[in-house]
Amino acid sequence: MEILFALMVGTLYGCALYLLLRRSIVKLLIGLILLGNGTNLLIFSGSGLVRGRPPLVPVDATSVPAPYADPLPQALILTAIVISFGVLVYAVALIYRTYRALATDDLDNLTSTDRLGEVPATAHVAVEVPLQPIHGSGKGG
Amino acid sequence: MLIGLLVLSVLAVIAPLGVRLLRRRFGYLAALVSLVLLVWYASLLPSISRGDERREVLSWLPTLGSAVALRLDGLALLFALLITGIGTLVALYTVGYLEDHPRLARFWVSLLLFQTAMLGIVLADDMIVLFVFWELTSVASFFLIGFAEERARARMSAQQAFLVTAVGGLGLLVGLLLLAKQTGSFRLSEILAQGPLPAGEILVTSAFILVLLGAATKSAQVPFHFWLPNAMEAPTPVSAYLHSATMVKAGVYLLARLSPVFSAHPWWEPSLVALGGLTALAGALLTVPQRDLKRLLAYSTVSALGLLILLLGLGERGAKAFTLFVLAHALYKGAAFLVAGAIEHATGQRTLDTLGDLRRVTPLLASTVAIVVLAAAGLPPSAGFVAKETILGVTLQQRLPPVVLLTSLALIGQTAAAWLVLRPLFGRRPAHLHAHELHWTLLACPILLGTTALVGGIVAPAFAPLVSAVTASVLGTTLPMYELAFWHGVTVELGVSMLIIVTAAALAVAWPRLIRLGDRLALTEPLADRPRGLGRIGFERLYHTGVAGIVRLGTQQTRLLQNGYLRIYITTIVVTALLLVGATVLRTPYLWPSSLPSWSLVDVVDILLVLIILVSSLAAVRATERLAAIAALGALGFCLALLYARFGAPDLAITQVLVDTLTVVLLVFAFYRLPRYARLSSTRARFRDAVLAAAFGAMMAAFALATQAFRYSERISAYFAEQAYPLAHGRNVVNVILVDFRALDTLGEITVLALAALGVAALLARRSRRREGSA
Amino acid sequence: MSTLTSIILRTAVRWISPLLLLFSVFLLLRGHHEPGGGFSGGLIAATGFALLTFGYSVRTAQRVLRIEPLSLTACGLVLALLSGLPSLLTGQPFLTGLWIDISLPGNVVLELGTPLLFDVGVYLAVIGATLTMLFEFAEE
Repeated sequence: MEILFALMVGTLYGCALYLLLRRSIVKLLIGLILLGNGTNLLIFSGSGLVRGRPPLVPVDATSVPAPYADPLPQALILTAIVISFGVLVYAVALIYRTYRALATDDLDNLTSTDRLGEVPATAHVAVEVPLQPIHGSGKGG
Repeated sequence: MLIGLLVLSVLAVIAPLGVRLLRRRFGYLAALVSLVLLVWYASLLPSISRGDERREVLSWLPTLGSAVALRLDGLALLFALLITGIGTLVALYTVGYLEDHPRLARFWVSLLLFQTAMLGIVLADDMIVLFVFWELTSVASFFLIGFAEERARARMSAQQAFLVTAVGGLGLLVGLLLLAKQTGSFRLSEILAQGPLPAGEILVTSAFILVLLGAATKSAQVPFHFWLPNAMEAPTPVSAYLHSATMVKAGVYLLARLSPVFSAHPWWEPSLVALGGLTALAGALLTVPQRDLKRLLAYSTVSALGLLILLLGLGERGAKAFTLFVLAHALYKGAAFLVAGAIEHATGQRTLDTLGDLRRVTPLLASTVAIVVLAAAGLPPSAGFVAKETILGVTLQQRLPPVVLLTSLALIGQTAAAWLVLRPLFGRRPAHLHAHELHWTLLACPILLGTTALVGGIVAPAFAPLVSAVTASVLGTTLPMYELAFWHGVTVELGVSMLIIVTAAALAVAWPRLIRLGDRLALTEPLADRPRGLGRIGFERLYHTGVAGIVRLGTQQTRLLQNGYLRIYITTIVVTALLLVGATVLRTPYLWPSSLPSWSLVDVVDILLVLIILVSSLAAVRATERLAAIAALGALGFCLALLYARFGAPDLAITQVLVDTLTVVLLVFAFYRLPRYARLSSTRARFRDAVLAAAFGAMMAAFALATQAFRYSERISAYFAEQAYPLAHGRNVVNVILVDFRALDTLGEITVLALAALGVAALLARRSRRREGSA
Repeated sequence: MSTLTSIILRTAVRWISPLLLLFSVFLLLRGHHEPGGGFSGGLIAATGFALLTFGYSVRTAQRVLRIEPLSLTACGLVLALLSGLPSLLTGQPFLTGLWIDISLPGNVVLELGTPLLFDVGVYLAVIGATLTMLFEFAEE
């Protein structure tokens, strides 16, 4: 089973990297999610796999009888899952705003945002590009 | 002592409020505070002169052995008197000089901050405290030189002064740390008690060189002297206070303070005499061919600072002359700057050739100038006269002809600078020259300071105990009792002194000819964009070349490394990881399956889950539609959750399922607002990325195998598992870790989550508000 | 959302959402002894509101929640912070768990402690943060 876990970790990382290297900004997001999952799995398998023995203290005992799954990585991953969700949503919001302001989803068109003393040409022109009808949501305008 | 620092810093903090309420009259308050401190320090004169010390310690970071330790001995008292005394007059002077300047609040904050820091330097007994105050004076000086922020030259000069002193400050920090390592203490008093350090140690030599570097930059020694004349961009009270009387003497103070530690070092005397002598000479040569009164005085200050360092290098005899000269110079040079400022304020001019006939234009100001010049030229009975006699006495006794020559030339230059200030009083009155009334403080302050300097020689004997106490601090010995006399009779020193005064006067008369030389060598102006004359080879040119080079290097490497292509950044990181981590992983013995401790059995459900995960992650990559990718991600997440559940992590399984659900919901919401999937990369780029991704994936798989085989210490987990119930009353160990054992981490994590939510709200809020407005 | 707001969904949501909320509290409270806790409880509750958003509208979900989700986040953080303070009074480090046992009739002992308070803080913060994000996107 360890080999299979390693295989999954490798596949998730490989796929994540491939997507992170794409020019399309949306694929970047998918890559981020895969990267998070791969890392969680890596930490999980790193402490050793114990099947079906969660770290719970039985009612009639005061400590967990060995063998038990390592609780520490689980605590780490639990918060990591929630936080990577938060970061993902933040990234979506950021990308959404960028897309609205610059009207491009090609990362190669966004290079000048990072360059010394240059402002992307589109930033002057397209402050708000209406891509969707604004009154589309259930809020009813 | 602590309370004094505290009062000053509190005054600095409330200065904006005070200036708003009192306008220019805030200066009276600042002067009053300085005066009270001056009186307090003066009241300590008798006891400190007897050789007593005062110490105060405020414990601070006790675990690091650091404390705000203060110590007041003779040397510290001398400087404290100067700082508070001249501080009082400068504060008064500012009332008339800056009037109700719109940036008055900023001026007072910086000046009071400086005063606090400068007092801190001389009182500090802890080297870290000393360093912090040292750097603070540089910061305050930066803001004060750049006070006229609308002038490009002021901004440039502020930056120059800051960079030069900050580089020296870095050297000083390392030097002090080395000193602490050698002596095992950060306390100056403890280090000084150890006596001279062994000269052979490389550590001691390095510490000496670095401390000397710090002192040389701060005290404007050659080759770092150029920042001081440029610092004359500052308002005149600042020039008088920071760049003549106090801050530039911080370097001199430091060398005097550490002289008992280093003076046995074979390099001490030659390096100090050479550095000080060179600076004294350079300053003297540069001071005469100047037009601008303040630049003139600045170069003469450079020369005086050099002389002070030279005197420190001369050992026991030098120490006495050092003390007298510090005191006299602070008085007369401070007064000279103040009077130059008054001339500028009254006439709007401060260059020698645009001024003339002031004795008729404004007689009151002219007589003030006369008093100050007589004091500065070192005529009897001034303090300068006594100091000069003592200096000459020391150098003549030393019987080193070069030192005598250097000293005399330096004194000629400095005296000539004093005489030159007299020139505006005579000669033809330039057209359009007129003077307006001056606020009383602009005259009272230079008169008071100048008169003190002028009659200082007569009262000199009264200061003999203080001079002895300072000398004792500098030499690190018990008190040698000194006699101080105003009149030594007709001696060689007197003859040389008079010769110097006359030669200097001759130079001042010949100034119109000298200034043409100065113009031809381009000495009279700050360095231009296109340097000419000596400007082409000077150290300041080197400074500019260096700064430009650093900026160019920074720009180039930023262009290279920060090229804007995300995928190149990622590729750089990944390739580095591949090389470093990959090499390490390949060398671990754990990698090979034979060393794996145990193989868990695999059942059909596992294989099914693993297969779905592998397929769906590949599907997420291959998807050509956004919805397909999201669906693949959903499947992947659920299978992961099931795997967690099967391997003893029910909490993870629950969380994963829920987050997976919410992610899918959110992506469905969000993705329709985002651009469609598009194929943007070329086939070649895709192939290249696929190869890199495959290599990275393979490395991570190997890494995962290696970590599985590597058994780390399980004590932490075991502790949690054993103590969860007895200590934390919880049976779910994972939850107990989250809310009890490592609750602080969890607090941090939910804070991150809250910040992410806040970020999302901030990013999207503008639109929703606008929509509500239009609805 | 007009395509999704079918009658069936609405009816289902009307029943499922309150159940999810109830279940989230259950999960939160049992978390110290059994799988569950503030994180999973908070996420379940957020899922309940997500369903409401799907089935009805953001407005409905916001009305049911009553308070601003961002304020809820702040409340959660403050609660978690406060739960660390009692231990300071007893001279122990910040966030050290303190427990009191309350004997109830029928030989039942109720254990109450500051970690429970902390977990409730986590619960509220997770609900608040998740719903802030969800509502912002749903409104867009």
